[in-house]
Amino acid sequence: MDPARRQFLGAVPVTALAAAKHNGPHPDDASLPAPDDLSLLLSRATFGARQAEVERARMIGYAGWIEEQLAYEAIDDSAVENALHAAFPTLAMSNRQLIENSLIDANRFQALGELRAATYVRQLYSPRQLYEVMVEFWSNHFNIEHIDGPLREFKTVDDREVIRRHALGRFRDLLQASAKSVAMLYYLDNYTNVATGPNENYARELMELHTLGVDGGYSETDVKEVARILTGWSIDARLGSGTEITYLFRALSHDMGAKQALGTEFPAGHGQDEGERLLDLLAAHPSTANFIALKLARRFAGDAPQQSLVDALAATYMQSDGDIRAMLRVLFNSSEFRNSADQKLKRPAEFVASLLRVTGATTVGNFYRPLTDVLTTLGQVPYGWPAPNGYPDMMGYWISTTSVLSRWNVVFDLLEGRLAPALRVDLAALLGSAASPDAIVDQLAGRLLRRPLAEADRAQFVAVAAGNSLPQRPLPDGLRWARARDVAALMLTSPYFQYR
Amino acid sequence: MSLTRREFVRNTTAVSALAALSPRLAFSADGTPARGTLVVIFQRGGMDGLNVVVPHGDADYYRLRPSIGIARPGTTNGALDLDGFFGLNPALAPLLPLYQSGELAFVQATGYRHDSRSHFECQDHIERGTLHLHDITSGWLNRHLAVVGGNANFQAIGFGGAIQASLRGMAPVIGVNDIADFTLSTRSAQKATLASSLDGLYDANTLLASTSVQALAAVDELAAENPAQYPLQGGAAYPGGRFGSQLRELAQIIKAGMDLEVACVDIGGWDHHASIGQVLPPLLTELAQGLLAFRNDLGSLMADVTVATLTEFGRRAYQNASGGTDHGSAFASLVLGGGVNGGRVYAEWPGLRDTDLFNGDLNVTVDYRTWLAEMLEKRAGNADVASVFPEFTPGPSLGLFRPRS
Repeated sequence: MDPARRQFLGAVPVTALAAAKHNGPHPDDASLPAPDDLSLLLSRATFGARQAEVERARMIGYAGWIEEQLAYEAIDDSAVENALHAAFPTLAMSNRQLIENSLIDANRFQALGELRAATYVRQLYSPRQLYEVMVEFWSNHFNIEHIDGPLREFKTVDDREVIRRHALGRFRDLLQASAKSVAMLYYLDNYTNVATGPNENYARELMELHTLGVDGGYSETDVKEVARILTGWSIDARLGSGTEITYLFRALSHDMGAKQALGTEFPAGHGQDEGERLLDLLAAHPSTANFIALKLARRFAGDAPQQSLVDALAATYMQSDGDIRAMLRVLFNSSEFRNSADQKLKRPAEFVASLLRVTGATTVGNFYRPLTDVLTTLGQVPYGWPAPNGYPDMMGYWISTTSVLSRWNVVFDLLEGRLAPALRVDLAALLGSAASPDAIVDQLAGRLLRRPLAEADRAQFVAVAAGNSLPQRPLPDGLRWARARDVAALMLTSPYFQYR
Repeated sequence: MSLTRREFVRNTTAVSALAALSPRLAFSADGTPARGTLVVIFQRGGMDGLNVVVPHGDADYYRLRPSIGIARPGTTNGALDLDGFFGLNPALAPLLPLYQSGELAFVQATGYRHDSRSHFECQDHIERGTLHLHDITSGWLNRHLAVVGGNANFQAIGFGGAIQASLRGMAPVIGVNDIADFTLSTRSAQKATLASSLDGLYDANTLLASTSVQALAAVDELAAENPAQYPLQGGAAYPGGRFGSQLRELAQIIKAGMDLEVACVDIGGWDHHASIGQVLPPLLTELAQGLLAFRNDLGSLMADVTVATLTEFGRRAYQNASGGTDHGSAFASLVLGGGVNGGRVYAEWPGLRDTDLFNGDLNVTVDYRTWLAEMLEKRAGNADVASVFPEFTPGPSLGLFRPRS
C-alpha cells in the first residue's frame, strides 16, 4: 500500500470532524502553544523525561544531549542491569536453558514475565533512554508476539542478541541476526520452509515488513522465489541431546535449483550463502532505505512526515551503509523535526511510561502486574501485538472513545491511589511549597507539562484549583491536597500531555 | 460549550460532517428504528474457507490437501453435510441446527480478485471496500452510516481497543472495549467539574476534540441506559474470552434499545500456516459457541439482526509442508439472522483443478460486495449502495436476504 495513503486512514476524518465544530475566526488553528525544542526532543527521544534528566539536558544543550545518548555505551546503566539480572535469571539464559526451565510447571511463564518486567524497568529507569526507545522501535519493526509456545522463551534471546545488540548499529547486521533468530524462524514458520513444500510466511514479511515495504517493488513471484532461497533455514532443536537450540541450515531441505528474485540471478548449486546474499541485497536496496527512513520519520517526526525529511534519512542510510545512529543524528537535527510539535500522539505504552516518569511515581514490589493490567486495557503490552507488522504508529489507530476514556482513567487511578502501593505518586514532592491556586497550577504545569499553556486553558486549571476560593490566596491544607490532585489529574488527562 | 455534549454529538458533528460527505442524507424523523442491526465479525489472519465450508464433493480438494483435508461426511471427524457437495467443519456443529432451520447461510468462493497476499493490504481493501480508489480513506460501514444518516450516540460501535478500519470515517462511531469500564473513574469531590473541564480543554484541540467530547457524551448515555441490567436469556452460554464477552455486551446494548445499527467485532488467530488440524478447531468452536449464544440470548430480537463474517483472504488451495496453508484468495463467509434466506451455501463453484486455480488459490466467483450491498439494501435501509462501493457495479443479487417488512 502507498504509505501516504495508510497515514491518512484515520487521521483525516478525525481532523475533519473537529474542524466542522469550530465557530471561531480560525477554525483550523486550534493548536496548542508549542513546547520549546529541548522539551520536544526529550519528549520524543525518551519515555518521558524525569526532572533530573531535564536538568541535565538543559546543561549540555540540544546537540550535546543527542550525542550523549547516541554514544549509549558510555552511559553507565550498570545499576539497572545488575538489579535486573539479579532479579530475573531468565534474561541471561540460552534457548536450551529457557526451554528446560519452562518445563518446570511453576516456571512456564517465567521467561515471558521476566522479559516484560525487564522491559518496563529499562524503559522507566535506564539512563540510556534513546537506546531504549530504539529497542522498542526495532522490537516493533521485527515484531514477535511472545505469547504462544516456545516463543515465550525464544523471544528472550531474540531481545538480547538481535534487538538490543544492534538497536543503534547497522541495519544489515540487525537483519542478518533477525533472519537467524530462533524466535523469528519459529514465529514466521521459516523453520518448516523446505524445498518439497515451501512456506512463504517469512519470505513475504521479510520483504513487506522488514525491508522493502509493501510498495517496494517486488512481485508475488519474488515472494515464491525468496521462499525457495530461504528453504532449509531452520532450527536445531534435538530433544535431550544437550546441544544448544540454534539456527541450523539444513542442506537437505534446501532447494538447490536456480532462482531469480528482485531482478537478480541466483544460480543453481548454492546453499546458505545465497540466503545471506539475498539479505545483503535487501539491506542495500533503495526501497529498504526509503522504508526504514519513512518508519523512523514517522516514529519521531509525525504521522505524515515531510518527504524532504524521509529523503534525507534515506540518503543518509545509503551513504552510511545503514548506520542507524547517523540517521537519528540527521533526524533530530532537522528543521522538520523541530517543527513537528504535537504531530505524534503518545501510544499507550509511551503514555503510561511518561506518566510514571514525569510524576516520579514510585514502583514497588511486583508492580509489573498492575502495569500489565493497565497496558492490557489500553492495548499495548510489550511484545503483545498479534501480527508480524507490530503496533501501529499512527494516531488514527489509537484514537477512539474507549482509548481516550481509558487513558483518562489511568491518570485518575494513579493519582487517586487506586494503583497503590505498587504504583504511587508523591504529590508533596511535585507540589513543593505551592499553596495558592495560581501557584499550584504554575508549579504543576512546570513539573508535569513543561510547555506553555494557552491563557484560556490555564484559566480552566486555575478554576479547578480554586473552586470558590481566590486564585491568589493559599488554600487550607486539606483542600490544597485535594485540589492539587485534581489539577494534576486534569493536566495529565488534558491534550497537553497526549502528544510526544 | 453552549450545547450539551449529547446534543453536540447528535447534531453538530453528525449533520455538518455528514452533509459534507453525502448530499443524499436522509434522517429518520421519529424515534422508531428505521433500520435493522448489522453485526460484522472480522476474522483476522485469513480463515481457511476450504476447511470450513468443505467442498467434499470435489475430488480435487482431497488431491490438494491429502493430509489436512476434512474427511467426507459419514467418516470419522468428517464434514457435516450441508447440501451434498459442501459440508461443515465438525467444529461448527453447534451451528448446524441454525442452518437447518433456515437462519444461517454460507457464501463460498467470495472475495475479490487481486494479486496481493498481504494481511494488511488485503484487510485494508476489504475494510475500505475498494481496491483501486486509493483516495478513499473511510471504511465501507462508515460510508453506509453517512448514507442512512442517524442521530443516536450508539448508532455504530467498534468493539476492541481500536475502531475497525471499516468503521473509520466522518460519521461518529463509538469505540468500546468493555462496557463496565466505560465511565470516568475519578472519585474526586469535583468529578462534575473535572468532566466539564475536560470538555473545555479538548474543545479547543483539533485532533482529539470530537473523540473526547463524544466519549463524554457516551459515558452519560450508558450511565442512563445501564445495559448491564439485562440478564442472559434463552439459555445463552457465551464462550470465555474477549470475543464471547463482546458479543454478550453487544446483545445487552441491543436489548437496551439504544438504536444500534452497526457493530464490528474482531476475532483473531486465523493465520494457520502450520498444523491447521490443531489450530482451526478451537477457533471454530469459539466462533460457533459465541454466535449460538448471541442468537439464543437475543431470541425474537434476532428477527432484525444480521450477522456476517469477513476475513482478509482464504488460503492457498494446496497444503504446505507444515500441515498448514499459506495466504490465498477466495474465502468463505457465514451469514446469520432473521432476514437471511438460510439453509443454503451460496456459491458459483470455480473448481479446484489446477487450471481452475488463480495463482494457486481458490478463484473468486462472487465479489464480496455483491452480497454486502444486498445486505445494506434489504436489511439496513440503504438506498444508495453506490456511495458505499463506488468502484463496484453489483451484478444480480444472490437473494441471500429478505427485505425488512
